Amino acid sequence: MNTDYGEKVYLPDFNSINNTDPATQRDRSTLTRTRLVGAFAKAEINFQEWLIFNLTGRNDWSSTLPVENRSYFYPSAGMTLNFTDIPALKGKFGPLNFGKIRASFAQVGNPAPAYKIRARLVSQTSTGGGFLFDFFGDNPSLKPENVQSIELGTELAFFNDRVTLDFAWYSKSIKDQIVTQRLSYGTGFIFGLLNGGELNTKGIEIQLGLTPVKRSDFRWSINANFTKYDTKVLNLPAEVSEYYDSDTWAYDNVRASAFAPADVLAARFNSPTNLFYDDLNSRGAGSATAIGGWSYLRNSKGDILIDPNTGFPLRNANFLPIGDRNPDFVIGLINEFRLFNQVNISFLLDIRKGGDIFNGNEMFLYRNGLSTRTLDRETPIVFKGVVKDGMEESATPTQNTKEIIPIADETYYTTVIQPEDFVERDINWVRLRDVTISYDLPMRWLGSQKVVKYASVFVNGTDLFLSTNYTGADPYVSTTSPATGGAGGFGMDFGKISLPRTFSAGLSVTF
Amino acid sequence: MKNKITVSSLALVLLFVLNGCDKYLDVNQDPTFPQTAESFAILPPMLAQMVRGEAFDSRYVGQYVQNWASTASNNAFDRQGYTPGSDAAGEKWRQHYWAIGKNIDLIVEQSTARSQWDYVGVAKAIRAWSWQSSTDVYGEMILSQAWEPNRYVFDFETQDLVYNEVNRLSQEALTDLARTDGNVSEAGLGRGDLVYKGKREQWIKFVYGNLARNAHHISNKSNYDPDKVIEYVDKSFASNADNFNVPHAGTNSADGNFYGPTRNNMRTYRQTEFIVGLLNGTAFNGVTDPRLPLMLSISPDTVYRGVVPGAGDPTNTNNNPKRIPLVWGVSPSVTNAAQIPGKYIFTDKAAHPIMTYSELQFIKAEAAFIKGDKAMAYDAFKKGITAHMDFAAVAAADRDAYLASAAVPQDAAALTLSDIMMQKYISLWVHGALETWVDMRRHHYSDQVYKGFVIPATLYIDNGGKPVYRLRPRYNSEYVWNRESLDVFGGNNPDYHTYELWFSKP
Repeated sequence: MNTDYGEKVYLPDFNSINNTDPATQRDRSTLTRTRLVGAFAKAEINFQEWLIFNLTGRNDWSSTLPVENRSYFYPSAGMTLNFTDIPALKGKFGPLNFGKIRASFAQVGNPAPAYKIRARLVSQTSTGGGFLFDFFGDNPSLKPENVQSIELGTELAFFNDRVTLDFAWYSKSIKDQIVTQRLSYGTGFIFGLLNGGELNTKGIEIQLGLTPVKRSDFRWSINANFTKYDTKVLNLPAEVSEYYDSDTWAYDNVRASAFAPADVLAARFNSPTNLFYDDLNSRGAGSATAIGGWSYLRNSKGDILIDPNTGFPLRNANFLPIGDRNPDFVIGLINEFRLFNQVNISFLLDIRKGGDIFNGNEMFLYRNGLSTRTLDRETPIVFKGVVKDGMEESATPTQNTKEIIPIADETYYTTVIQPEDFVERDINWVRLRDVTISYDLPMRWLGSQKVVKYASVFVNGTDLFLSTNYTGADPYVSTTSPATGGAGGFGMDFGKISLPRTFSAGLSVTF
Repeated sequence: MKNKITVSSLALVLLFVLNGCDKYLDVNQDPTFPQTAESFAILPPMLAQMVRGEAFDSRYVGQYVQNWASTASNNAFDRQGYTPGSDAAGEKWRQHYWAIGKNIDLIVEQSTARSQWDYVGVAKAIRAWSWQSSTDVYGEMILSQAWEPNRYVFDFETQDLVYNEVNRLSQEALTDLARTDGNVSEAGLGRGDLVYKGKREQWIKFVYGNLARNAHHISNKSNYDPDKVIEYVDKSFASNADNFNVPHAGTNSADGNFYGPTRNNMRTYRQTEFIVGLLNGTAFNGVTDPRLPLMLSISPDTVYRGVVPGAGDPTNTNNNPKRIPLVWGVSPSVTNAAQIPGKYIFTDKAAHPIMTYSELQFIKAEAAFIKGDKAMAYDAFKKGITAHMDFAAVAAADRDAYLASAAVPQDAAALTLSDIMMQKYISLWVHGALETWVDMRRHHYSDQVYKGFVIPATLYIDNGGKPVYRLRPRYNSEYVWNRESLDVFGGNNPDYHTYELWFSKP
């Protein structure tokens, strides 16, 4: 419930607190109402439990879409083949005791947020109050967004489940994605809500389970997860170059972005002067998990351009890809030991290969003279690069020789240094995520009482060990919480501290 | 083995017949924010946005024309540069396309439906003014494709076409403002009209004032028609009472004057040596202008000083008797806005003049001067000075003494173009920086016209040694989201801001 107070109602027939003079208001209200009606049909065909087909169809009607686009249909189909259960082949697979192949195709349609078909007016606090259009543009031809996914997978078990393997490959495409996109003000607005953007994510997931030792007094099991995926940007809406998540724009001119493919960016940014450099910028081009940020101006050979007056490098004040946060792969490895039916020991190792991180903490410290890298601030330096004197594109550009002393000019720290310098590439890590040792108390210690049925003591430690080539505190960072949605802010390190090393010990009792 | 096929479930549920369903789904109107409004509720913030566009950009353009300069040395705008990758000096773009933008169309739509032709005329007058004042800083603009639905990439069109559009739209505005049928009424328009309180005849004068700018800014062209300019001026403002003054409640930073102490926008800027020279007699035969103490601020040692653009303020240290005060007339050591009353139009409640009678008289003076009618030029010139003296609240005796002094030519034959332009400069100081910049660009920063005006020796690096001639379109609009369209006319070139505009070319 809202309690609102306001005076001077502007529009006679519109009953809302926002329709009063903001200077007199004591509250502000927002109410969102959406309705969604769905009809759903499902069919399952089960052939002797070894061949199963699933079919679904769904039609939704959403209140948030224009009348002509408000109804949309999306189907799914799936197939599972338990081939080791086929009667004719049963028992003919040697050590393979279970095998399954699955395939599925699914479509999902998503409606729009409420009230976006027509732009809204917001009350103004300038002299005289009143209403003006909000930042967000209207879109009377909005369509539902469409997600298509295909998954192929297999589950195999060998030697009576001593070795198990689960493998999945998937491809997920998003079309007509509904995005809030900044646009030219020529639209009349600052943001548009539009259908656009075509992304494709392909990935594999492998889960391998091993039980190398399985004896009555000693059991060792290993469980490994391997994950690898890559999201390609095929298309961004409204012919833009970049889509960014404003929640990740935490420090300076760096943000988590999705970029159009390299050829598109090169065509857009290499005229009239080169602003897109293959060596630097192609790394995050076409990636949905790029780091977008400012860099240095370069000539077409890639030499950094230097201002002849100041001796400082010139900046490329365009948001271009300066890194790609997506890792090559991630592995989670669990080892479990059980000794004498009483002692359990388990380790969880977390391994990541590749993926860039923006070290915003270091940039902040550097700019404020708190980083150890600024200890040489009184030592004269010469920026490596060529002077922007008109000869920079010639065969013999003038090499910069101008000496500067960082401490002598504050702008060196405040404006000259660009985030490009603080993107750390190919960050790997091995992390001991969790270690637990537990000891089941012998039953005889519990005596003949009937209250406690089982008791054990344990010690546990998390994040005890980290080995990484990252220079910051902890590469496992994100500027956003999962609630933000989207690709998220992982790999954007600013104002974050490392995961704590925790120890715990305890007693676990079952009554 | 018997094949077993199980259809475990098959259901198709239609919950509603389509008609009932449509009604049920018809809830997509925002109950807390209106999606349409009547014109009287849209006009007041639109007037405020006109000022916002002018004032935000005037702060930077005021550095180009040396109304004021930064206390820090080597400021990019002091050196006729810009800040790459920034929306600084991009406010007119925001104002024209967004802040005023489609709100104009909403007024036209709403008021046409209600036969409020006065509102329709006012909306068109404001858009015509917005095109004129925006193209005068940007040159090429998004014109025919602007506000087009479902368009995301916009072509720019040349400035002559924008000038034509100003004329076309102004004529439409005049037709609408002349209507008395339907629901046209002073009381009705007055509900939203904070400037002229519903008086259509003053809006008509404003349209002619804007047409005078439109016709006069092309003074370097062979088809320039001084008679047309004079005609427009004569149909526009008749006295300071017609000035387009946008009022400020001045109760907080949201409804206070941009130049007032509460908003604190001018803290790092100081009066320049050039404006001090215009008022302390340096430029006008040693005659001290009675506006000097009213407009400018005096250092503790009772000397008026100004900074040299690019050099910074060498006096800017605590307890320095030579320290140049803030534009509000107090020492920079005073930081509490509540303790700063302000002065001239540097107060929280001061109205912002979008267009003044004195400006129009100086336009007439220059047009008549170019035409060769020196008597008319001289008459308008003196009216311009008089009107601005009154605007600045100069005592009548001081005003008349100045007009009779050696600072002012005493007959029409002695009048020079420089006299007109320098007096116009004084009258536009602060609020009229954009119009001053038009003048300076028409006269190519000539120190024969603006005596004592010196272009900074070290210009901003990207200028390539050339003076500034335009603002860049807003960075987070065109440079990020419409880049390729800028390439057509060199908008992405580092020295784009030095490209001369169409209006000042022969």
